[in-house]
Amino acid sequence: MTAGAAAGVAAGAAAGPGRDWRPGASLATLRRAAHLRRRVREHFDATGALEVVTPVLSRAAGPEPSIEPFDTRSTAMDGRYWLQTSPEFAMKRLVAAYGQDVWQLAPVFRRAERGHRHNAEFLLLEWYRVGQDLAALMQDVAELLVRVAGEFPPFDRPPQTRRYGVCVREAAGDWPERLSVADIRDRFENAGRHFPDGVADHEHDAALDLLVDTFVLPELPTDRPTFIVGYPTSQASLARCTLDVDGREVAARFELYAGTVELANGFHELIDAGEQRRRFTEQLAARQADGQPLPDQDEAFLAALEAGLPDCSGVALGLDRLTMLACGLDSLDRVMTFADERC
Amino acid sequence: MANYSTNEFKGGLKIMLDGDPHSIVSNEFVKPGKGQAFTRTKVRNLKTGRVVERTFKSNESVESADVMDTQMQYLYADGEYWHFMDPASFEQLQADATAVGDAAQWLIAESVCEVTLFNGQPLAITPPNFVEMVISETDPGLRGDTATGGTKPAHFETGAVVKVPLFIEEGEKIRIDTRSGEYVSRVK
Repeated sequence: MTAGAAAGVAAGAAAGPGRDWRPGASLATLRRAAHLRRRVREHFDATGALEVVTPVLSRAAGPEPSIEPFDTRSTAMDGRYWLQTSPEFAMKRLVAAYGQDVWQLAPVFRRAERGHRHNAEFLLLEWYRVGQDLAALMQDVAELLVRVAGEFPPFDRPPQTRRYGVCVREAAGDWPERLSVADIRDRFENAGRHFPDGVADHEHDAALDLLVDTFVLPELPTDRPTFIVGYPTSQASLARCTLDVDGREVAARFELYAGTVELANGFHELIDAGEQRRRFTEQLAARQADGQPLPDQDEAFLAALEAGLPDCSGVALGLDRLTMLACGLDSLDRVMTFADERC
Repeated sequence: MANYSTNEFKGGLKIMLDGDPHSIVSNEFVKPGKGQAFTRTKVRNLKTGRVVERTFKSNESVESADVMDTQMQYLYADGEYWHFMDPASFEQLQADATAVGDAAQWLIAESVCEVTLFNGQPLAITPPNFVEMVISETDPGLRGDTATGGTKPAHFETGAVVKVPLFIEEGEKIRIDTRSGEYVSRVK
């Protein structure tokens, strides 16, 4: 390139009143992201899971509280379409149909999330293992981390495991099921931290979420990943419930963290159609009471459960965040080609 | 007054909290994948200057604060109030000792200051970054003593006291950085 042309390129980069068209991620970051995706494929090829592609658009969405789906309309057909917030329902239908381990790199969409570690659209690596329980799935996750990112801290050290109940007890003085919202508020005030006025006395899970974010996550090591297991049954979502080592009823659910960065959410899946329908009904009622949008119920998913979902465990991992950590970065904008503000 | 929802929060936004106007210094979106969303902010109380943490549940609504910054020219002080004039409209207003605060020591006639108005009333005064003032009183320097690093206090009519090099004399005009209260240079 001649000096003049090089100068023109450099000037073009800085000048102009228009939009910033450049990607947020450097070329080196994009190369590493591609490298990690290649390693993901190798892991599943080696461990016998089938790659699938399920639709981003659906006629239904889950009523999960605190996750807002985008909705849209077709001009060819009546009714609403929803952009998936996770590929869970479609992938479970595949497991119900064929009983095979499946995996997918799925773009997912959440309407109300934006921040350094949140983007309206992001990539979820989601997979299901038939006949595996939570412990086996956690082992699978640990192996994936080594194969995909084992040369990059903090994935160069094996994950440790902590119990949610014990973490909360250490942070706030009692088991989560015994702490009231007022107790949690007191804990904040004693530490000189502000607790929102907007959390009502019955919003126990919301208070626990903030307690964990404020007092538990900052204590997690940053040089190795951590599994947190044994979530409250009220936070079981689509997991079955079980008993922990102390006989406390907990959700069969784990989360993977690296320092304060949430990376993955795993479940020993609920396969009881009646229980799943009951949870959906409860969640829809809560949405109605709060004046929140009511998504169309996924009857196809419920029909798959009624037909019989094999015993399985599944996990969703945020690949953008994993890439972010493997590159030593701290915001999705620098890891994605074009995060929200660049679209 | 308008309300803001947490998803409109950004640095510099003016909001009312506990009856006082605040400015958002920083805000962070907090949300576990399957859990409740919150916005954790650092806010500056525009009356006291203190920065505190405030956390809101997502979509909690806060009242906006009628706060604006405007450039005004300082005119004079009458013992109780400091008087300012909008150089465009020639409108005058007066600010009390609470609003003027520490800025009082840096105010010289006709200097252009930033006046922060809350509900149309002066809340705070920010003097220009640099001011040039004549020393009204200081100990005499030792002749030829330009080499030592020592300083002595210099007093100004406004009440300011600034450490200056020993060779600076009474009656000299010097340049001061109002943000640090430090001597910058002599003014020829």
